[in-house]
Amino acid sequence: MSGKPKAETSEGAGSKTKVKEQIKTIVEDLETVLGDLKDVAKELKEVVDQIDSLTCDLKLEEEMTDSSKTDTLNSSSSSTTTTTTASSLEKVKLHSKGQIIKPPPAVLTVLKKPKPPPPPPRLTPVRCDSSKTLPVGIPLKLNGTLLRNGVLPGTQTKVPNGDVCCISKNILDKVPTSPPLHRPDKDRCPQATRERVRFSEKVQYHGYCPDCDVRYDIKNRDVHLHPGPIHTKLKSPHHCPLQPPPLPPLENGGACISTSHSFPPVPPPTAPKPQKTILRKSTTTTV
Amino acid sequence: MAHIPGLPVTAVVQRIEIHKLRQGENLILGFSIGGGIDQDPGQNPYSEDKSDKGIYVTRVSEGGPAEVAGLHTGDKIMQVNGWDMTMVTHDQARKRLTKKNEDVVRLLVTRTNLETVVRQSMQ
Repeated sequence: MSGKPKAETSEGAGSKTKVKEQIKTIVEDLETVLGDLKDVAKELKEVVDQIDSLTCDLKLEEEMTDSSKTDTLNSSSSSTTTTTTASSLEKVKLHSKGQIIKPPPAVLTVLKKPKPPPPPPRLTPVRCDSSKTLPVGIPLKLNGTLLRNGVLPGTQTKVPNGDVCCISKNILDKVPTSPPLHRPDKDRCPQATRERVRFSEKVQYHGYCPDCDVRYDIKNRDVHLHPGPIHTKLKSPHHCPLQPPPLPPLENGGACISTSHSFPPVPPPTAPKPQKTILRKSTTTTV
Repeated sequence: MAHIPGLPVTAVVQRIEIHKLRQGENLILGFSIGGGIDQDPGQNPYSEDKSDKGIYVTRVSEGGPAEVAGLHTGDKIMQVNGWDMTMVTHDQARKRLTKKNEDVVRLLVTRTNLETVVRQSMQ
């Protein structure tokens, strides 16, 4: 407009252009930085995923001491993931610019291992020390809580998932006494199963501990069998020996009380064994 | 009609209340059972579906408490005093029926003609 601006522009132009140029460069730099940061964020996410997959079984012990116990089950809890990722980020060298960006609350994806490794007594070398600080009472509680399918870790059954597999290892570290507790049951059962020689080819259902039931059965048998051959001939007409065995597949040749199970072993000496013609595949019981 | 595991079982049932008869030391019901998930279902002459592993009445003693109560041979026992009998072993079934502290057993039984009878009566 006037001469002043000319002067100003001539002076200010220099500074203005300088400033403008500076601003331009700054903006460009910022844009590049932004783009790089975005790339870094992507990389970080990938790294986090890889870390999670690689360290799922290693990191769990630390997690359990750090965070609350129930959180380990909630695989989607963000708090645990961020702590692990933060710690792992510190360990893993990342050439990322600027500060460590907290990754978005990622889900701790636990991958199912195709072959669950057998639960060894000690898997992790050093970290067991920190875990031993837990009192024993807590792992016993964990037995109930940590395994969803209700299987006690001491039984060492096949574990389907990766996470359960991991947890069971921990518990095996901490509660070494639990397996021996289960062995007496196992020892008893195979003995009983050995005595059950005759069995149907079909499904064998071990739905109960045979020891308790053996005694029960024996008592029942005594009660049933003794009056059976003796009294029935005299008294009650509707007991078996007077009736012809009506059913071809089932009756044991007119046995009075055909409690001739292939089932329980009948070890006691007092109860006479029912007729030997035990049809393996079918049983009738008179009640 | 084979039962599909996992799907609910529906059946027309009859309630049968059997009062156990005391014979000396025993409480008897006066019938025999066969079947069970541990038994061979193919040998069951009463089942429509030969893969049915339920508990069936294989014999009813004449004049016994079961006959008096209306139990028939070939009935499939669905429940005993509220306990399920469709998925039990033979021995479990026996135990549920022969509890010494129970004088009465209330069964839910089904037989093939029950449903047809009900349907016919509805028409």
